[in-house]
Parts: sequence; structure tokens; C-alpha cells
Amino acid sequence: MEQFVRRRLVRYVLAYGWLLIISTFTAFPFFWMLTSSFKARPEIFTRIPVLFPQEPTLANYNYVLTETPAGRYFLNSLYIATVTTLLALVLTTLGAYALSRFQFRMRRSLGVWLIAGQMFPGVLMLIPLFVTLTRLNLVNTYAGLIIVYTMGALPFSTWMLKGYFDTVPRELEDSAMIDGCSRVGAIRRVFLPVAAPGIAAVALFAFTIAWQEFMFALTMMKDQEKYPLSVGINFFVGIAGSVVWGNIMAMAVLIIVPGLIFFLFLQRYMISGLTAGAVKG
Amino acid sequence: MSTKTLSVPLPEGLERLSRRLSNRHITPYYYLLPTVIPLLLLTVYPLLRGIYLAFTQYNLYNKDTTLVGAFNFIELTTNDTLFWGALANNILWTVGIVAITYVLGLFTSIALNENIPLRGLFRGLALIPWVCPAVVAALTWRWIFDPHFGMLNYALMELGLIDRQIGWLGDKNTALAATMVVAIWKLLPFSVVMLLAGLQTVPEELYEAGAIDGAGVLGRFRYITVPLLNRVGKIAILLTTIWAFNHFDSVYVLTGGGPGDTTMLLSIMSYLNAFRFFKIGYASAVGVVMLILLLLPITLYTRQVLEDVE
Repeated sequence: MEQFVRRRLVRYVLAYGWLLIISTFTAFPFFWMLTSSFKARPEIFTRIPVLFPQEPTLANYNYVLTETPAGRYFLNSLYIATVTTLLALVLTTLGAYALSRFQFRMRRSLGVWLIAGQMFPGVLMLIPLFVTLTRLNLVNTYAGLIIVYTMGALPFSTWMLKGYFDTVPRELEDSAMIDGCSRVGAIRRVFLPVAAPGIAAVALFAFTIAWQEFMFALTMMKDQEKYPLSVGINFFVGIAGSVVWGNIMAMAVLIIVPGLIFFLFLQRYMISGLTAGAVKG
Repeated sequence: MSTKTLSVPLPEGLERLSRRLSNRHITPYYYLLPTVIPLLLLTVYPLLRGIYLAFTQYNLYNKDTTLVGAFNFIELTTNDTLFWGALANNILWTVGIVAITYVLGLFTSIALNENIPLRGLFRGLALIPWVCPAVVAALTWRWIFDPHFGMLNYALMELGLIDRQIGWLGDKNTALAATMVVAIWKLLPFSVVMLLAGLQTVPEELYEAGAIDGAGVLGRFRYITVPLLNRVGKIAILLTTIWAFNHFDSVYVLTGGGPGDTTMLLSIMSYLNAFRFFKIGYASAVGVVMLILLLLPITLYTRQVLEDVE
């Protein structure tokens, strides 16, 4: 018994010790970002780093929101990410439903393409897409980026959602259809409410892609006032230099907060969606 | 689908067409077309066109395309002083990141699989880099790595591990490792999530049975955990390999390939050729080389995922 308790204690100590080390690594940059965004200049350029601001100030937020286009960047990102999410939801739900419920020719090939489709080198896709979108006059437009992001989210989301739909029993729609619903009606009234968690995961995934993406936005957006946040913050650092860390960290917090909120609400679904294809219980 | 409600009789040809369109075998395609057509247009077409461009010299301004055969590839492998270095960096970068991310992810997921208080909090903390865009990660880490005002140098000097300030990103010896740290930071949550999900499918009774049969902690790890994690582990490794190999954002922001090309990766090299030097064909050739190198992991990954489904 005593040995059992001691062994248990060792396990606890090892687990906590490791978790403390690893969460310092993963969370410290966030802690640093957040506290520094409330620091005034003198607390930023110190030989001995200040962990907690002694005199917290909102000056950095005030500055980036009034003196820089950060607010504008924020709205650009919000617009692009929201439209991308809505588009991806509609397209992905339709495609995943067909993959999950119907037998048809090329089903397997389509599956292969969905899995492999987003593994190709980003730069290799960027160049021809840039050339094509230039021809279509879609470079430097929100629409151009929205199209690219929707497509970027599509393959993996469709596959992920198909995995989720597979776990929803087919009898659900069948019985609704026997009761006189059309297939579309059965999907809308019976199937979608049950499949909501999977769809939420797709929403999070698509939103995250559009919110975080950098390379395509950097290449495609020419006008400063159309920059999304990711390109905007990098541009700001480029012109202001790295001397204004307080301002940069305030901008960083603005970028992270929406994603973080979204993540806290939906992480359970995201995790189950992501692992659905990989782990079978 | 709504053809049945039409009351006016259709001419025979149309009638047959309408019957065929409402046929069960056609139905899937109504659902699929909105997904498949954009997918083909925006993944298949760019891929084929990208491969085609690699065999041309393409001028972005006068839109002049000249087929030059394998010229770009020959130039790349024989005349470009950057290519082999970038390739070596890319491989070192990818292998290092994948190995370290896997090991850290494994330990973290095992610790998180213990039934301990505050488990949810620690899981949240381990997953948090996920919500941080690579650009923001790069900028924050740049400050942490700063030789004079950075937290890292301060902490290491306080601990007595180094005796003078190191410019982590500016020093040719440390720059690649520093960029790897940022990439590992960003990829770790994925590894933890996958491996944790894998561990949670391992029934507790198996460990109890192992313990009764006299297997120690290490023995149980070796003979129960490792084999059962095999599949999830393979998927996690393949995906991180592909992502790390293709990575662009954080290195572009952290170093842009410098100092002295010590952090030059193939993706950065391709990007600079395309959008700084406007050598579109040449840049595509670099992309095609990346694609060829990735064919094996992409194939293995696709096969693994399909196998799991069937």
C-alpha cells in the first residue's frame, strides 16, 4: 500500500514538473505579450526585464487604435475571415454530406484529393494563383483573398466533416424521409442539428486559416488600407522598427483575442474533428 | 429534384433528361458540384500550371511565356549557389522540428493523460500557441531573442548558463536553431492533441494487466503505449513533416533567410525569386523540387488516412 502511494506520488511529481516546464515554454510568449502591452516605454527598455508592469497604462492601445490603421486592419481581417467561414461552411457541408451518404463514381479519388490537396507546397500554388488572379483583376481585392482562403480551408474541412457525418446514424434522415420530409428537409430539420458540433469545428478551422494567413495576403494586397492584421502588423514593424515593442504587443493582443475566444468556445469540437480521421475509438 | 411538381407535360427528350437528372445516381453530384468545381479550379489547376511554369521563363509584366525545357532545373542544381544550402537547411530544419515536436508532444500528452487536478488548465496552456498567427509568434519571439532587451539572454545569464549576450537571430551559428524553436512552439499543440487522443484510446485495464504481469513503468511504456500509439504517431509525424517542410511565415518574418543565408529555406528562396526578382519560372522550379521531395510523405499520409477509414 505504501509503495502504491509512493509510486503515485512520483507520477504526480513527474507529470506536474513536466507540465510546468512545457507550459512555461508555450504560454510565456503570451504572458509577455499581454503584460508588455500595458507597459510604458521605460519599463520596456530595461536591462532587467520587467515581468509585471508597475504602472499599467493603456497608452499602447490608445496609440495603435488612434494613430495607426490597426482598427482598419482589424475590420479587414474580420470581414475576410467571416465571409470565408460562411462560404466554407456551405460548400463543406454539401460536399461532406455527399461523401458520407452517397455512393458514386470517383468517390475514392475525390477522397484522395481532399486529403492530399492541401499538402502541396504553398509557394508552388501561390505563384500560379497570383498569375491567374492578376488576370482576373482579383489581386488587391478582398474577394481574391476570400476565394483563396475558402479553397485553402475546403479540402481538409470537407474530409474532417465527412468523418464527423459518418458518426451520425443514417437512420435519422431515413426515418424523417419516411415521415414525408424531402431529403433537403430531412437534412435541414434532423441532420444538421445533430451534426452541429462537426460544423462548428469547420467554422473554427476556416476562421483560423483566414485570420492567421500571411503569405498570400502579403503577396496579393497592395493597398495599405486593405491589409489584414497579419500583414498590417508586419508592415507596422517594418516602418516603425522594433523600438516600439509596447505598440507592437498591443496590436498582437488585438490579433489574438478573437481567435482565442473562438478557440475557448469551440476547442472541444475542433479537437474531436481533427482527430476523427486519425483515431477511431 | 423538384421536377415531379411540374404539371405541364414535357416533350419526350426533355422528359427523359429530367428523369435522368432526378435519378438517384445523379443526386450526389448536386451536393458535390459546388465543392468540387472550385476545388478543381483552385487546387488542380494551380498545381498543373505551377508545374508547367517551372519549364518556362515567364515575365510577370509583359506576360511573355517561353518554354525552356529543363533549363530552370539545370540552372538551379548546377549554377545557383543558394540551392543546395537551402535544401540542406530545409532538411535539417524539418527533421529537427519533427523529432523534437514529437518527443515534447509525447511527454506532454502522457503527463496530460494522468488523472491529476488542474489537468484542463495545463491542457489549455499547452494548446494556446495554436491561436497565435505565425507572424505574431515570430514578432514576439524576436523580442524574446533580442540580444540586449530579450528575456532569453537575461534568464540564461541569471542562471549562469551563458556569460555574454547572444544575438540569437543575428548569429550565423544560432539563427537556424532559433527559427526552429518558434516553429516547434507553433506545431507542438497539434502533436499534443493527436497523441493525447491516441493515448485516450488505450484502455486502463491494459496497463493494470501489464502491472500485474510485472511490467515496470518503462516496460509498460515500451510494450503498451508505444505500439498503440503507432498509428496516431505516424499521422502526427507525417503531417508535421509536411507542414514544417512547407513552412514560410515565421522564418520570413524572423530572419528573411539571413544572416548570410543560414536560415534560407526552399519556400523563402522560391518566394524571393518570384516576388522580388520576378523570376516566375525559376521560382516555380524550386516549388516543383519541394513537391517532388514531399511526394513520399504525402503518399504515405494519404494511404494511412484512407486505410483507417476503410
